[in-house]
Amino acid sequence: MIEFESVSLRYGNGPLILRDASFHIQPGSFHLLTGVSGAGKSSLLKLIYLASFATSGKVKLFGRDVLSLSPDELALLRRRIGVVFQDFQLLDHLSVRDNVSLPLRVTGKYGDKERDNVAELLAWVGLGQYVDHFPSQLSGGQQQRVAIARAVIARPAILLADEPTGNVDDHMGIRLVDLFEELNRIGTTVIVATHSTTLVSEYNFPTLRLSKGEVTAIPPRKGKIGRRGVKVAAKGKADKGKTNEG
Amino acid sequence: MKVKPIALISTADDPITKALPKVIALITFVMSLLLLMTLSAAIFLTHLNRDQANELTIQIPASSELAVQRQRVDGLVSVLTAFHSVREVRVLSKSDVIALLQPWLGDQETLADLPLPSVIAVEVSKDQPFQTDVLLQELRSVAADVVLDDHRQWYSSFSLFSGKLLGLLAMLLVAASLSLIGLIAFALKTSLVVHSKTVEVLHLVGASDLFVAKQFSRLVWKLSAVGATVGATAALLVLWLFQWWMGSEESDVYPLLDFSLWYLIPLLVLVFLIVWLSGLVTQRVVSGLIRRQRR
Repeated sequence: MIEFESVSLRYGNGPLILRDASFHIQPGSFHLLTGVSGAGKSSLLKLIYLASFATSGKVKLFGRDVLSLSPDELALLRRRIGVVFQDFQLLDHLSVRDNVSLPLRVTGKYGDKERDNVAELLAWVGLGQYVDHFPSQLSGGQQQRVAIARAVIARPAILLADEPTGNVDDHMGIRLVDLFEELNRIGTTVIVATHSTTLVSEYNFPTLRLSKGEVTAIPPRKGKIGRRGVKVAAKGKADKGKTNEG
Repeated sequence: MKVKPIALISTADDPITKALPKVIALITFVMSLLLLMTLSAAIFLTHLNRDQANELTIQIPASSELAVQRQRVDGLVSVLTAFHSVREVRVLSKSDVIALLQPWLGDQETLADLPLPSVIAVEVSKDQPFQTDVLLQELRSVAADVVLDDHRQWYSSFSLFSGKLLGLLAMLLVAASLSLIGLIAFALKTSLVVHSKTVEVLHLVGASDLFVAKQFSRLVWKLSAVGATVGATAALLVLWLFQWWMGSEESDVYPLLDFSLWYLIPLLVLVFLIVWLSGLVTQRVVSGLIRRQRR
């Protein structure tokens, strides 16, 4: 589903962000992308959500070399990828509901049913009473949940989350990753970029570790894949069960 | 059921698109004035063509003795009716002559007391050759001081001049349209920088270039509809005020508009064209700018 073949990335004349990275992510898998701040996690995600392109090497999504795609084909491909941005990327002049509905609006498939789905999802992430608010009226954590709702509303085939638990408390963090796991269970390929050691220790997922521009694939620890869930008290079941391995 | 589309591009932080209705109103105002003037001239020319293109006017200077003047007029009418290719001869009544002179010489009561010239309107056949010199010679044998105005010569040179004027007005309309296109393109270039985040987010959630361009054109459609309506209304108002200021006497001489459908429909078409052109230019310009940015 996501294939990197000897991919290098450099912005302008700057240093190499990615060096000869090669990995293959299977459909329906759940991966963590780890590395210290500034390691290039966001840059790697950008290559996947087609916001930037490799300096050298080949990136393939859904079996297609992204450099061979026309602008319209890129747009169609992006519709299959949901992204939770680190800085949320919400549009301040649109209400919470309108922000979340954007991925549906661009496809022209936004009707009464979808409108209800948006409200339902917002209620699920705890923002049911904020649908008509604007992002500037929300806290950082609430904005992040709006960003997550927007990323998942169109049921993407790939979900990328850049530090999704960075601005929420532990309880909400668990709920959000649970949501990602649920989406993963119905077939969504998930990659969560994080520098949170808690998240890495709480969950048992295959990991891509990024360090000094190099990507290392680390298989999951022995035992059940998914949440090990003992340290943080949370609603919902612990050990949500198996997900696909990468 | 589909939900009503929303404005994805905001004008709140964008002084350029905010100013666009004012600029479009100004350009529409100028274009409307040009259009209405062109229409006035064209309608005036059409009337001239229909009414006076085949007419001659014979003037006999005023005489203190009315009987003598009447006798000279009768003699001239005899010559005219006998002349080949003359279709109709009509001696203008005193009130007709007063009506003709009134715009230049003042009120009716004063004119009625003055000795007035006699005027004979002559319509000639379009189909037969006509020699003005020969007719003038025959007329002078009856009244030596007779004056013959050949409307066809005057109309011919006026028509040539008017044609050039219409051409100039049409060129000015084209120039105003090009200015409009240039201004919109310039405004969008800046506006796209202001809205770069919105454009980026739309792209990242899967919007095509065309979808993004349509958001901008929808915005510009709205802004230009407001601007064009204001501009066209202002032009009508200004011309109406001008007409009122000129007064009814002058309006007999100058071809001013009468606010009939002949003027209002083209004006509505102009407003529609400006709005349509603005939207189309926006869509093309935004698509082009996005393509160029990507390279």
